[in-house]
Amino acid sequence: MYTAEISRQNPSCFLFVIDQSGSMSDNISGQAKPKAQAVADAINKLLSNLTIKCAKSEGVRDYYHVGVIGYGASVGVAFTGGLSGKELAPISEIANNPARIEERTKKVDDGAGGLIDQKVKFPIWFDPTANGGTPMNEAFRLANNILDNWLELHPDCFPPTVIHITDGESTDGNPEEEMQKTIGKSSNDGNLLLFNLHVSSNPNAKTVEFPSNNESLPDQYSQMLFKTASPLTEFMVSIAKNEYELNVSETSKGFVLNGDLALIITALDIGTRPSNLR
Amino acid sequence: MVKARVLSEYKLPKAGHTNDECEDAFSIKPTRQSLKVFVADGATESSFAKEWANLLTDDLKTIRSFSLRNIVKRLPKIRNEWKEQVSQKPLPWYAEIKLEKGAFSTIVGLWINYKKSSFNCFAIGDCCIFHLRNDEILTSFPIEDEIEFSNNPFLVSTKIDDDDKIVEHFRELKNQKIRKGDYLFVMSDALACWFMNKTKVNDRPWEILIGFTGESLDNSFEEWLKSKRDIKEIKNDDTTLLTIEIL
Repeated sequence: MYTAEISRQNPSCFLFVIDQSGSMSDNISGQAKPKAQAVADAINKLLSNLTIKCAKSEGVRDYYHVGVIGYGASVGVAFTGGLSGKELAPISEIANNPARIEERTKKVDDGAGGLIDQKVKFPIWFDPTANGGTPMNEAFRLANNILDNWLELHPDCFPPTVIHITDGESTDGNPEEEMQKTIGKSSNDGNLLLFNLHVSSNPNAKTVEFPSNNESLPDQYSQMLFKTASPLTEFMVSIAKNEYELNVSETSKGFVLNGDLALIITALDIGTRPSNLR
Repeated sequence: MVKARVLSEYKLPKAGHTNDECEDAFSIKPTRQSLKVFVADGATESSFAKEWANLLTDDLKTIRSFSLRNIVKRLPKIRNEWKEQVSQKPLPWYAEIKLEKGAFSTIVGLWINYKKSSFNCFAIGDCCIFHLRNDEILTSFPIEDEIEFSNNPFLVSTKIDDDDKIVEHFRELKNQKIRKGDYLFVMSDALACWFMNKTKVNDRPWEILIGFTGESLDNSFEEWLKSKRDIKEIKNDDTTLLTIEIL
């Protein structure tokens, strides 16, 4: 389980399922930034990091295919520009087709105990959107179709990872059955991995990261998202413990409640770090 | 007084990769008095690691002793050459960012002195040397237990920041006596890990490796390696083997 080599001959896939409903315009936990903007920043950062990870001197190696489904006023693939309409695109196509490249500044060590501003390139594939309802059921139906097609073509792949970011209140019925279908899918190397990152608007929701039980979860939405999240793989547990010093165990699940942007980026990193890239 | 000859030299990429994508490198420098060989293993996670590994093995052939001081002294020049090589053409955004992170490689060097009938060696990282005499491994360098292969080895970097850490990770052996009939094997980590495992259970892995001679035109080593990778006895990684016979 979870030992398949990830290579150009046997790529794996990441599918992001992103809530773009009207309520995503509320601010994210602990920051004056709309959830939709924070999620777009996190996804763009992750796509950039994945591209860099797969970049070699001759170009970008297609170790992964990546898709983004957005759901809100409508449900569909969320790539724009050169990637428009693609359910899953190889990472080299993603690398070469950002919608635009922005210049942002970051603080770096000046070597003399101070910090200086440095300009960095920040490619954008995905812009924030927040309007309409929360058709989570329909989004997972689409995700399941995409995943079925992928698994039929790649039966021996390292299992696909689905990363779902939502504020949690489905408006087209209980999505649990569709999500159970998602986590029931498998390649010959194990079950698909579903991460649910819940950016809740519930005032009682505290930050919970990779829990093993649902004791501190405030409502039915977070409990359902906890229930349908996959257990972390052994390698992910090791990354969470050793690189991020998180308090996780072998029974921790891929669920985060009300993480700030840094925790969402951490969760994305842990969720997209299989051990056997070749 | 001994002499030495390189019985075989192999460098093969991971399965599914082309020869050009192999990030291992080696160099051989024979003279009348000595034989120097180097093997480097460029880190897959970095880009332009092949170029870095090639430059390291090529440049270090010229050093006059295997002291840490001498090796570190060469690094600025090698880094400049690497920078020149990689900045010859404009790069896309992702290659530019990755380049800033630098390239990394392990390296091992072996220097056989004919007159003294001995060898010196150094290593940074987990490329290995094994010294065989009469069906017994006398030296396993720098790793003595295969468990150490699971750790992340220290790597020589194109960035100067890590140079102060090299001293902690530099390993060397001096004046190791050799005699006619001995063999020395220099290899990158995946094969070295297999070699050590097999030695531990008295499987005499050297008999297999000595059987592959560079003179044979067939693909016997490549086919053997593939079969071992297929049954997961050897990790699918770039693989280099130099077998040296002491005469």
